[in-house]
Amino acid sequence: MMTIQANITGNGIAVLTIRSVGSTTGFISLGLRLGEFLLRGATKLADPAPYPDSNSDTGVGPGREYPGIPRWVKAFGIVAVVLVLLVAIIIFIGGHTSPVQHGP
Amino acid sequence: MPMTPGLRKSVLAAHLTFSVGWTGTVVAYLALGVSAVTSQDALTVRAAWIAMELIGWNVIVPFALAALSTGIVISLGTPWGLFRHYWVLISLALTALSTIVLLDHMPTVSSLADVAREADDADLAGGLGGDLFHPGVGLLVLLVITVLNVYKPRGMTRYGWRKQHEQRKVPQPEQVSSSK
Repeated sequence: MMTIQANITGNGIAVLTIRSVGSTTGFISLGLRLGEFLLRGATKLADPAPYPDSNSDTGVGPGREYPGIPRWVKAFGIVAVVLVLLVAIIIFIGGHTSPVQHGP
Repeated sequence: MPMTPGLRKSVLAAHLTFSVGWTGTVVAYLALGVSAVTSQDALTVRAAWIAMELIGWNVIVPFALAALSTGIVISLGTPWGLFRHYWVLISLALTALSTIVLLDHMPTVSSLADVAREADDADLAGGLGGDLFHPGVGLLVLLVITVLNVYKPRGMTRYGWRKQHEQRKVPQPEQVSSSK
């Protein structure tokens, strides 16, 4: 007869134990260390969103200090500035983009 | 002010409809613009410009204004807020900018549609020019806004961070009643 037992230790490590009783091999134990990041992920998924039907989980965690501007915002800003400059250069070199000039 | 779930869903449905409608109509406008540029047929060029004016004023402008206003309403009625998260702030800025450019550009479209109505076939066959730049860039901006709204990349503004901590310091009504 085979029994499977799963435990989570205090330091966030999941241990899966498989025991085979009555067989010639006697006892088999297998421990799987899944890592803290998986445990954190499972905990996060378990938290319900404030408005689950509208996908309004703002993803804001606790913290005291402002973490600063995210990297994606900085990259977005750089790309936007480059594109605006590019458009300005095209307009400056090639004249107005519209077939009819805007009114005064 | 938080919305009720029913009201929130209604506004969200309206916002999605207007936003997707805006994008779809810009694609149709772009197709007409391409026809106006590439066609050598005077009738096609004239029809394209007249249709661009009609679509612009009667569909794109109302959809843009409706998408902007419903976006503001739903932001203020949910925990996202209007100035708390970068993706909301950037979406608002791009939507407002697109609407302003659209409103500024539409009188030019009307002028060109008038020219197309009154011009001789020979003049139109020679080419009146097209309007590809504005709808092209506009479509790109709308797609960026769509991606931001779907993925909702994380990141709070300094204002949002401060507001969040202010709300945590104020005890909630349930906490006050339960502590008594």
